[in-house]
Amino acid sequence: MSKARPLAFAGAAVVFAVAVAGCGILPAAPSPDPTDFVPSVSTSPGDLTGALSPDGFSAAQRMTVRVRNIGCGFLATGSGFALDEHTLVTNRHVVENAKDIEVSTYDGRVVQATAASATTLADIAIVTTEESLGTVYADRASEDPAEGDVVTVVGYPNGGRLTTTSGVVLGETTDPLEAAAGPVLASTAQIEPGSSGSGVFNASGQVVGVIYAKNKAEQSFIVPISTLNDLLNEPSLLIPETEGCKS
Amino acid sequence: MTDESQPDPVVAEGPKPDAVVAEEAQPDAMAAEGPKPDAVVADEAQPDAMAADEAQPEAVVAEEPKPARASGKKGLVVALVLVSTLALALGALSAYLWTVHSQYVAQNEALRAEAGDLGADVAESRAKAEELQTQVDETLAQLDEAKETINGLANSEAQAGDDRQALIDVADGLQECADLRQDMIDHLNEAYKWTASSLRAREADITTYCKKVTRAYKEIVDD
Repeated sequence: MSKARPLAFAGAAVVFAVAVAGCGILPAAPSPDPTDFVPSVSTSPGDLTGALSPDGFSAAQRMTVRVRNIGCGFLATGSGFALDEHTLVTNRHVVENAKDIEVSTYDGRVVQATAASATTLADIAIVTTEESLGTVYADRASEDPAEGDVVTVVGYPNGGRLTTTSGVVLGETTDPLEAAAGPVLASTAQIEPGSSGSGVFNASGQVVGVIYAKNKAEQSFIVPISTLNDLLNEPSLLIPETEGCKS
Repeated sequence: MTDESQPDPVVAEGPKPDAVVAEEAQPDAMAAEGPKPDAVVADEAQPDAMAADEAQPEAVVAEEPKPARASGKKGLVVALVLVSTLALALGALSAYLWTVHSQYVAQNEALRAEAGDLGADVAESRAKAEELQTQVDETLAQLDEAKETINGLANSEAQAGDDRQALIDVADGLQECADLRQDMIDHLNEAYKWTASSLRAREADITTYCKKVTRAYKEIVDD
C-alpha cells in the first residue's frame, strides 16, 4: 500500500494535468452580447467646408465678379475675383481710364468700387468696395502651376454669362505685350475679351494666376500667382488709379 | 583485487587443487557463481562476511510470495483512482461544454433576433435613402435650373446695366451734340467774326461727332 498511493496520486495528477491542459483548447464562453450594433454617425456631407454649395455655384464661381469700367465715352467690361469681403483682383487694363467702376457679383448684385490701384510691373489691379463682395474669397496658392497642369478659368467672356473653361499650362514665357517685368504663363484655356482679370484655379480650387491676354493662336496668358503674392506683400508697388476723364 | 589486504594475485592463482578444495567446502556458492579462483581466495580471506550471508537465507525465501498479492491490490487502487479522476474530469468537462453550448445557443438566438431587426431597419433605411436620393436628384436638377436662371438674370442685369450706361453716354453725347450745334448756330449768327473755312471745319467736326453719337445710339437700339 505504501507504494500504491504515490502511484495513484501520480496517475491522478497526470489526469488532472491533462484535464487542465485540455481546458486550454476548450471553447470559451461567449462574450457578452453587444448592446449597440449601430455605428456612430459620421460627419454629414453638409457639414464639410465647401463640400456643398448653397445655390449650386462652385466656390470659384461665387468669388468671381464682373467689372464694368465706365469711362469717358466708352464702356469696358472685365472679370475679377474676391480676395476678401471688400477687395478684388483684376487687370490694370480693365480699370484704366475709368470714370467709374461697378462690380457685379455672380448672383446679380451690383457693388460700387471705391478705389483702384495698379502696378506697372504686371497687368494687375486691386479694387476696393464699400459693400460686401460676398462670403467666398480666393485661396491663393503658394507656388505657380507647373507645365502640364490642368487649370480652370472662371470669368465673364465678352461681358456675358459667368463661364468656366479649362486648359493646360504650356509653360513659362515672356510677356507678349512686353509690359510685365517678370515671366508669365501660357495656357490652352480658351478665353475672350472680357475674360481679362479672371482667376485661374488649380484642381484644388486655389488661385494660381490671373488671365490678362490671348494671342491669335488662341493661347491665353496668365500672370502667375507668385507675382500677385509679391505685389500683395509689397503694397507700395500698387499705385492708386486716378479717376476722371482726360480733357 | 588491488587491496593490499587481499592475497597477492600471483599467490592466488596458485595450484588449482586448493581452489577445488575451497569450492567443495561451499558447494552452494560454487553452484551459483561458477569457478572463480580469485573470488574463492577472497572468500577465504573474509570468512566473517560469508558467515553473515549464510545467516539470513530464510528471510529472503520467506518474503518472495508477498509482492504478487500486493501489486494486485496496488493496481486496483491505482485503477480506481484513475477511473474516478477520469470520471470526475469527464463529468466536469461535459458540464462545462453543456454550459458553454447553452450560452452560445442563447446568444445565437439573441443575435439572430437582433440581426433580423437590424435587417428590417436597413431595408427601411435603404428604401428611405433611395427615396431621398430621388429627391436629391430632383433638387439638384432644380438647383441646376435655378443656377442657370440666376446666371441668366445676373447676365441680363449686367447687360441692362451696360445698356443703361451706354444710353446715358449716348444721351450725354446727344446733349453734347445739341450744345455743339447751338454753339455752331451762335457762330453762324456772328459769321462775320469767323472765316468761312474755320466755320466749315467747325461744322464738319460737330457733324462727325454727332454722327458718331447717333451711330452708337442705333447700335444700342438694334441690340
